[in-house]
Amino acid sequence: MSFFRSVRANVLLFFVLAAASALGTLVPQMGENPAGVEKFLQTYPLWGRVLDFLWFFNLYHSPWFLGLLGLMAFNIVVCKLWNAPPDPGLSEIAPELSRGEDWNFLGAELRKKSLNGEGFLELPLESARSRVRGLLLQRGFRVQEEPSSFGTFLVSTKHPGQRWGSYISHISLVVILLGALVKGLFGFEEFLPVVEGGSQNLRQRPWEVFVDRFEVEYYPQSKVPRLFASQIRVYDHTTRKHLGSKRILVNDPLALSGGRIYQASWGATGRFRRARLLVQGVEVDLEPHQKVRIPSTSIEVQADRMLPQFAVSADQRPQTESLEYDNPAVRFVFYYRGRRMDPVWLLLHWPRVSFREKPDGTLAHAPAPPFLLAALDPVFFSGLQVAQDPGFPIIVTGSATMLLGLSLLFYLHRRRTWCLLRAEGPKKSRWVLGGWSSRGPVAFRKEFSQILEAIEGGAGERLPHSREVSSYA
Amino acid sequence: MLETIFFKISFGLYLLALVFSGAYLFIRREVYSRWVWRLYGLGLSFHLTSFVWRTKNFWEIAENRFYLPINTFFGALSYLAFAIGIIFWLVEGRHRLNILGAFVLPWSVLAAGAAMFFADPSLSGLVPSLQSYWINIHPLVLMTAYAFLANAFGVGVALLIQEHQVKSRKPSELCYRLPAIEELDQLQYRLIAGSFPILSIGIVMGGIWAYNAWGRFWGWDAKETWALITWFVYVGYLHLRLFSGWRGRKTVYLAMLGFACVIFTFFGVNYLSELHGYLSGG
Repeated sequence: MSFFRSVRANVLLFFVLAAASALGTLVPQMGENPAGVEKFLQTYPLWGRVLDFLWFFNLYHSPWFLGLLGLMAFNIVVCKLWNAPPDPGLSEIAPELSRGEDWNFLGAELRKKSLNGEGFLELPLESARSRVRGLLLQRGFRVQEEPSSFGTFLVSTKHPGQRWGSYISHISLVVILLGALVKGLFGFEEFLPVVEGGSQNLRQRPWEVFVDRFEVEYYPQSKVPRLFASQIRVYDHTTRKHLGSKRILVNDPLALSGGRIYQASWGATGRFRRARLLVQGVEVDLEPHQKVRIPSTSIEVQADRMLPQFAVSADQRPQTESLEYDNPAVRFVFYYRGRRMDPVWLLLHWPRVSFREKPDGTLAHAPAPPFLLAALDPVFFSGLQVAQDPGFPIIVTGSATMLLGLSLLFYLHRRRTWCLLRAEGPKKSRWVLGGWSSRGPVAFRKEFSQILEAIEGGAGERLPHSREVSSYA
Repeated sequence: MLETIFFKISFGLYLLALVFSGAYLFIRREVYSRWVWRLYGLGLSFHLTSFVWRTKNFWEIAENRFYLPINTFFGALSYLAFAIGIIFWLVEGRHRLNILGAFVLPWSVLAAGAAMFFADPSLSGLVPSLQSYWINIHPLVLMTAYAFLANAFGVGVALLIQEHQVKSRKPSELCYRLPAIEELDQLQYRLIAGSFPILSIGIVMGGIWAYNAWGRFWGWDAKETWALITWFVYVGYLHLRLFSGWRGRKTVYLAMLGFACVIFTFFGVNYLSELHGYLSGG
């Protein structure tokens, strides 16, 4: 148990988590790259089985990784909340100073501090007390007077809120992990591809989502989309109650009670509504499988197949490389006096290129045709991401408080001074001053020196063994 | 056009300042360090003008209006060079360490040089996922943290050199010019501690943006995972320094590991991450 309460365990866990996280970015993960996992398993069957057994292909959701995160939360709680305060500035009076009121003991303790000084003031005790108290107040310190039998014991603090930074940030980290747990237990994510004009039911909610219209626009002379959006309607398919409608865009989802619907992606379905063929200046519009006669000829034409990203496979057959609408092509079948000719593939973006499809299904380059595919009206599907994350508000709260904690911890500079004063006669006082800084003695050195100088201020002398600089550890 | 000219001028001034800071290492003339600060300040003002001009041109594409032009590799590197430079300029202006330029400025010059020679400066329209006000905040905040950490890395190198000098039997002139080891150690800690909340807020903002865009705060995408790894390493640094008394060489090595993670997060991960892949292209 003592190991888990140590900072060493804390740091070790951080590094183990870092290493495990790094591993997950190098090994393909089932969630985002299932094809990569499949390929790995085929290429390295033995290693693939070993890694699969260790959950490496689903690393971030593996029991051992989640166990490590849980252990981190446990470690933070026991380390931070059960341990003794880790630095001397955390208690109101440092433990070693609260043990006694004896001048010699306290003086000796202050002299051990990295920043200390002592001397005499040619002033009565009360005036010396006012002087030290006044100059510390002037410098923004909060000064507290502790009871003492020897004279006066002043404890002063600047930016005391810094002490809470460490606690707040550590507890916040536990809150963030709790938020992730809530999401894991009660949240869901579902990808819903819906063909425009169609609808789909969700598995996780009794919702039917209609995509009435999908639009995509590109920057001029570019394949980079400038906008894609879906006009959607959502119904509860058990009650037929209308739940909501909206034109959703990326970064602008439809929020419903029980989940939000995001515009995530889109793709081509491989279907089209209309293809326009340009034959010697004459436009011929074709619906799928519709046979149309080309005006003033005895040729009929039919468009029967479309590929969104046309490519020729290794065995010389037509195929699509993805569902992206990057290189669309349509297959046309021509009939001359009723006799079927070999189909021809025409590409929308490459008017001079065409392929003839032979009876065995393989392709052959065809000479530049006297007709071209002038326009195509494809049917897209809209990729909708439906999600509910009840842990999100908890995570955001945890993150906000963590930032507050970190800001207190690192941007506030907490300083403490302890000053012992006693009378050395009716008009003379002796003083000892010790200092501590949350940023270490070097950061407080300059200000501490100024305080020492201000205490003397022509009204006394400093003893020669005063120490204002720490030895470098 | 004007933007490119201003950027080239700023790069030239950065380079000149770097030459002066290098010269200061070997020729002890205080005037050199003053010139480093002045030249860099001038370079930063030209860089800022170039950035303002670029923003104006960027906004001519309607979809880009009111977003900052940091969606490309060029934009990101240019901002990084500027952020490293401005942090150095402010730290140097406050602490007057003089020698620091030789260890910190190479990173700024490297980033600006990489932008100038290897990145495509042309402007492009933002893809829909980047058309969010978060693009003005999330990458900017993270790169500001990276800039602090680059400065901390430079200070760490100076510390290692100084430690070597102090331990050697025949310390060179450099030993007398570099600040004391504890001062460098303290400065490195201050830079890392100062950047840590910024790094944290940058990561959190990315999560909030991801929630608004895709409905999830965290998706273990390679970029966000490596940002988290970087965070873990610096958490380790801070714990070991604050609670285990680590100082000097050991903390420098840890800070260097953290900075290696920063570099990988910024450059390397672009080849692993599709979501953040925009940085690797136009």
